[in-house]
Amino acid sequence: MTDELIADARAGKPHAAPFLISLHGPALAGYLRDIASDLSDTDRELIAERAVEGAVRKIDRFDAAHGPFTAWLRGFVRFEVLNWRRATARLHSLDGVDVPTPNPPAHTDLPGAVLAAVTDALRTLSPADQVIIALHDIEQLPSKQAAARLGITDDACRQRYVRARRRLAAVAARDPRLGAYAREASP
Amino acid sequence: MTPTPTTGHDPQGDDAADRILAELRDTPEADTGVVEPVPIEELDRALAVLSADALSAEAQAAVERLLASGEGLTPAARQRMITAVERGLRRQRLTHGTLASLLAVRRDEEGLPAAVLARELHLEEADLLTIESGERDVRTLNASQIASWVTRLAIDRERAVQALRRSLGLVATAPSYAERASTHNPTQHADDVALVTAVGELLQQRS
Repeated sequence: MTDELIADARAGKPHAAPFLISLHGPALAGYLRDIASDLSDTDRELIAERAVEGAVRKIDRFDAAHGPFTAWLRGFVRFEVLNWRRATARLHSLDGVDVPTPNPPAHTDLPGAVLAAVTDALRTLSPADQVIIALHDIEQLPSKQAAARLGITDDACRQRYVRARRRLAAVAARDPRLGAYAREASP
Repeated sequence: MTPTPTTGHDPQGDDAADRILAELRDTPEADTGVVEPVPIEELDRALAVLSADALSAEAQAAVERLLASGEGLTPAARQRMITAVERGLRRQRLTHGTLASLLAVRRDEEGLPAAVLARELHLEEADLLTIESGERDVRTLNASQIASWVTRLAIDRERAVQALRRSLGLVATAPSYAERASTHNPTQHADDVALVTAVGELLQQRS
């Protein structure tokens, strides 16, 4: 259904916008509440609007082979939340005012080999470990929200996450690509 | 928060998700206590930029299942999101779309009735509408007709030419026309290039 809607959106069919929002709007709003619960409803609504506008402006770049459309939309939501936080961050000191703003985490200078190594390591883990890591690190859900989605306690969620990360680190540490990069990067 | 039902479920994905979630909801396993050397910084940085396709299909389905439920939108919030999507799609069509979609968006922005524009361009209204919708190939117009249409809607020359290239499958970033010609009908390709050139020249003269 989403594939057809995306095709219709690309073709400029007028029904595409309301259907896309009916299909994905509630999930996006719920996700946004999870990752930005400290913001007001109004701020979150504005972020959601910016995210969906940004996403459809680049709809030609969406490739279903790299994951579902909803995951792609969530990427735009995370990016807009980050932008929002950077734009509205309180100024605690004037010391860093002239310092260029660092790149958002969505951009990285990590070599492709490192990303490939981490991806390979992630896929060797059990699906449960992958899920708990994805909720925390990829989807950037706070632990409480991840726990609520899973229906477990926050403590149990944190334990699961720490152990999954240890297992990921253990697998990744054995990958020569990551080892070589760590050696090169160390002073 | 008003929970809303999830949409577009894949039953197989649901089975996998149920199994994984049951495992996660089970009693936490004992800590092995074994800690290998951990390149934490690289891991953190890498994980922060990975997307859903870094996961196995099974894990991906479970994550989607977990994040599928949301909250009900107020009618006003829903409408604003729809407007945002429409705005985004409009911009997308203006900057990355075909000439047909560019012409349709610009006519809509001008508030110009199809019948009026068709009369000015000496076209049938139905022909104009089928070209705008993409049902009819833009190649059915000659260079002069395309240039007149573009000029009437005050579309930037470069934007129109790029959109025409996209319409004809002549991607602007292609290494060379010669290379592209090897994968296309050479005669058609030459005609398309000639059409783009002629339109570009006519728009240049009229600007």
